[in-house]
Amino acid sequence: MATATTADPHLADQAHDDDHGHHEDPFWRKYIFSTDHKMIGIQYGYTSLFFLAFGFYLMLCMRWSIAYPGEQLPWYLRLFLVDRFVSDGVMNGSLYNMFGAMHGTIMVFLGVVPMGFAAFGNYVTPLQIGAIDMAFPRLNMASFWCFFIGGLMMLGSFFMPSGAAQVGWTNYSPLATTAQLDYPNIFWTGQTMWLSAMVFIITSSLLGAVNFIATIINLRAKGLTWMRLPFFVWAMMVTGFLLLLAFPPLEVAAIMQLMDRLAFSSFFVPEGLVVNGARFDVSGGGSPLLYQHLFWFLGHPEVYVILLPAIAIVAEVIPANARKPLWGYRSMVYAVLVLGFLSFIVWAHHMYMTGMGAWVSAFFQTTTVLISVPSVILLTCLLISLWGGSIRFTPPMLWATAFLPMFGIGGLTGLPLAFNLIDLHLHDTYYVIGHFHYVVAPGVIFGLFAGLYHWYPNWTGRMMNGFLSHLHFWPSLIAMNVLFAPMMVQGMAGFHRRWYDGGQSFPLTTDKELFEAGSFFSNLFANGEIITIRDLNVLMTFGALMLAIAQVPFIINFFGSLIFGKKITNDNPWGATTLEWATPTPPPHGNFTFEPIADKGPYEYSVPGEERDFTPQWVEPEKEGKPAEEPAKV
Amino acid sequence: MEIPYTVTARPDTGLWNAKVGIWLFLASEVMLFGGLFSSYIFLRLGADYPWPMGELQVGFGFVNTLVLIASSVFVVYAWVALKMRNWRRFQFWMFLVVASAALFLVNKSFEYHKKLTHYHAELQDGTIIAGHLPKENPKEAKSIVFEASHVLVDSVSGSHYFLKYLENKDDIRFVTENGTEVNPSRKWFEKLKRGLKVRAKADRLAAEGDTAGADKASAKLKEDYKILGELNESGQVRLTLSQPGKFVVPRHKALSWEDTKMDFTRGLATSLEGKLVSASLKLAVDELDMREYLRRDEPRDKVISESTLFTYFDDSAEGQQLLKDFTEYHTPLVAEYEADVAEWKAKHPDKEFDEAAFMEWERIKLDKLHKELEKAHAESGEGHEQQAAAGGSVGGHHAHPYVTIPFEDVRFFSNYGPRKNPFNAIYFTMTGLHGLHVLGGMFVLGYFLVFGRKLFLQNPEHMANRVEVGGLFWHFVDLVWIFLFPIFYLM
Repeated sequence: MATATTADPHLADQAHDDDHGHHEDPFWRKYIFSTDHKMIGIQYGYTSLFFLAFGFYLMLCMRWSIAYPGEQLPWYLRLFLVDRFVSDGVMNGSLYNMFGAMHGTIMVFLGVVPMGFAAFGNYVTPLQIGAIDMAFPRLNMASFWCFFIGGLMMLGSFFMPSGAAQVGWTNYSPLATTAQLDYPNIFWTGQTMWLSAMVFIITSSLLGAVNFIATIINLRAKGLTWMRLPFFVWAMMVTGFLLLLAFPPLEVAAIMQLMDRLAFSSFFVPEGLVVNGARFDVSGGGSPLLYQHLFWFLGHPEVYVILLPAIAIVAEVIPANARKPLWGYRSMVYAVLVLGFLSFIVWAHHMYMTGMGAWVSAFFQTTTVLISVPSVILLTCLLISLWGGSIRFTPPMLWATAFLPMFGIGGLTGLPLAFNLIDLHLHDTYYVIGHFHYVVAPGVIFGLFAGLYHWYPNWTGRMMNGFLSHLHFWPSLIAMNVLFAPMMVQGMAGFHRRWYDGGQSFPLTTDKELFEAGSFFSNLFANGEIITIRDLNVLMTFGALMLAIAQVPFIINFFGSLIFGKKITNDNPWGATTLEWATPTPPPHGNFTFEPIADKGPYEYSVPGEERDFTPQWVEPEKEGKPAEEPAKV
Repeated sequence: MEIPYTVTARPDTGLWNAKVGIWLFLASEVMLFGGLFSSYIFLRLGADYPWPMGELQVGFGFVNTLVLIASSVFVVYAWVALKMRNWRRFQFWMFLVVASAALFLVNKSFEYHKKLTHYHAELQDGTIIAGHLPKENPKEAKSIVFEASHVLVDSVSGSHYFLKYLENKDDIRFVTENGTEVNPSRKWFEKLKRGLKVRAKADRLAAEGDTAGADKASAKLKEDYKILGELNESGQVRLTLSQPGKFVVPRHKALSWEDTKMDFTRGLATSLEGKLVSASLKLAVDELDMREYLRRDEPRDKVISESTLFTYFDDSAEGQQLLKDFTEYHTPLVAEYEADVAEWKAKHPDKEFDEAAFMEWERIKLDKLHKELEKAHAESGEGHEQQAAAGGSVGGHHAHPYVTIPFEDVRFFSNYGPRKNPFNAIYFTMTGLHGLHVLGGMFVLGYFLVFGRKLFLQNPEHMANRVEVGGLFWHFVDLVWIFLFPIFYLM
């Protein structure tokens, strides 16, 4: 596949056959224990899509029980899992806790991060730097299988006598240390399994991070200097460093908590703890605060691990569809490096309520405010990139443009939380939930959808259906806001984030006068029917169900287009400039049919004097036509 | 298809892939151990108990330090040998590396064993007694021994786990109150629980008015789940044992015990009926520590003479001797301490007296006594041997007196493992993780030693690179120990 612009659909097939003829990989080697970075990326993609759906299901059950406390869940939520724990189909407190803890864990560690970093990172990064594979392909495979085992353990924990973990995705000690100790074998409890599974997931991330950074440093194509790297690659490298350096302390915390549960040590157990009315029979003398420090030392960089892949995808999609270079590429690169560094020194803003001291709080408040500067630089650059472009609203571009305001809301609602005085009021309320879900759900997930629609043709050689894409996008956008905007209102009114009965047992939540402001705001949508702050729950549950229905067109589109999608006639269907579009479609094992050499920056769109409105980053090889027998060595 | 730069360095970065990889991996390892070292500092600064110092034997640690440092040098020689393309010399040096690693681990496991078989009990009055379990029946010496004639198991949360603590399982048959002989295995309990679910479903369907469904479920109950007939009104199964079953139950698995009854913890949901044989901890004492106890606001002489400690000693010659030594050794020290306190109080009449800060623990600590006792025993060793030869009842090998402490009087007891306190916990966690790193390094380097020849013949430079990467890791493992040794053994 010589040039990206010559339309020759047969060449792709040839390359495909060629691949088969030469390697003869058996099925299990090609699709299961594959060392090809693209196949591993796809494996990660499917696995994390499954976990995203599963986490979404847990959330639906929770939202239903908040809106209609004490009522039986509808049949479609009781199809599986719920009946295992409650015979009458009514969600009780401990089941709510279990679903809540696992929703958070699954979404963060098994859904969004593997989707953004591992799936897109694996698939796209080596292509964009013109490498034939990752630096350590077998390590890459090990990384996926560690992740897979960790995921299975998390799922399996639902089927243990104790059920899954129940103390929140943060797994705070000493609650987590003492939970589910009432079972004959403590190793086979959900709480212990959570920790063991985390050790696997963390190991997987560490292996992946080493691999990504080594690949980016050492396997860049000829001429692809640092400042010619696509922004996506930069973001992957920073993400890799965050994972590499932030995850080990969480691994330490997991190991120490495992010791606390299995060897009855007292790392996180203070002196004189009373559990179930009896003295907890360990020595004591440990510190619960230590766990929180270790956890949030990972927890905050993890936020950027979630965010950066999404923002990087958007940074690829916007120039390709605005037909205009990325505005302020250099400042974005510097911003992302500063962001990476600062994210290591803001962790304790999650802990203002622990009473760790005014000076410590003041320090972390300062760094937290500082970190908003690079974040705003990134978002502003993306926004300005739209200015004066000739924008094509292709499906990926829809998601990318929606990402900007949605992530903006998420980011700006975070600012009040950075100040410890305001945080004292908002801590553990729905305001916090609303804030970070705006960042993660309409923000990051929208970015990931943009990536899916953007690289789908490269993966399959087919386009996704445009009508179904719109049918997916518009309802999702509305439902997301119906779901998350009321959370801010509730939160400012003091609605606590862990009330499983939707605040029913707290009479103040039905106080009309107290929540007048909230009801005024929400009645903009609900035509005067909302009387108290609690009625917003029904609205939000409606939004959640709507969001679920909105994903149906996506699922049909995603799988349907594999077979029925319109075949692309061109290896570079979007007319993009970066190296992943220089390969045959789909890229064979080994990726390139010629030696990629870069001689320009990554975003040369609409260069004056050029024939086309994009100038690919790579040098076109001289000989055109038939692909080389073997992919050339870099 | 071959990944570039696996052997030769990339010109502009000057690195080959694995070298980038290992340095990144080591960076994450630094964060891993950094997290642990920070936790150590956090726990030590925040400790509300005296941080144990000098608890570990420096000799062990020092030898291990030397072993690791030497092996770090050997691994460099092994790498140099490969660079000079000399396989025999490589084998020699690499063998020394692997042998050093093995020596380190053997040394460490002796140290662990010593800690894990040494016990420590905190009494309700704050006294600490340390010692070893008796050689005969060590398991029973730290457990509750119960001779059961009946077992009561809860059908909802009960399980077959109680069988784990039954010593003479094979000789015993279980009979229900209806006279059926049963085997309370995992399967039996699972069937019981399935039966309960079917019954709940039948009840629910009947309540909802679905008679057909309820009948179907009841029929199933009658045919397949006769097992439910064994339950009594409170949903328990009472099993009679064909002969007294000897249960040996660890202290922390028992919720409560009386002369005729014992309850397991709630997780097992099982109780025993029968006869309590013993519920006390038996130790051969080698250390006493009464610091906590002595801090009581009462006259010191009275406190000492009234301590329940003395009632625990077996009426042996050693016990009596220890009591005598203890009082003689301690009385002047306490008097001296009292005088110091009085002097301080006279000097600072306006300040509040903080005993915890003032007390010089070392002076009051009683393990000195233990050392002197040992010395005395060593001197009179001859006498002991004669006694033992004459079939004496002293136990011959043991120089330490026995105590028998009822579990009611024990607030907390454990071995010197992770459970004892956060110091021991972090000691075991950090050295354990470090030991796993040594083990991993040993396997990888041993793999090079045994299976590396093929690659050496094909591409010696690639082999040298591998050993270089392995060596970098080995240096890191060594470096971690260089920090571990002082913070645990010396500081």
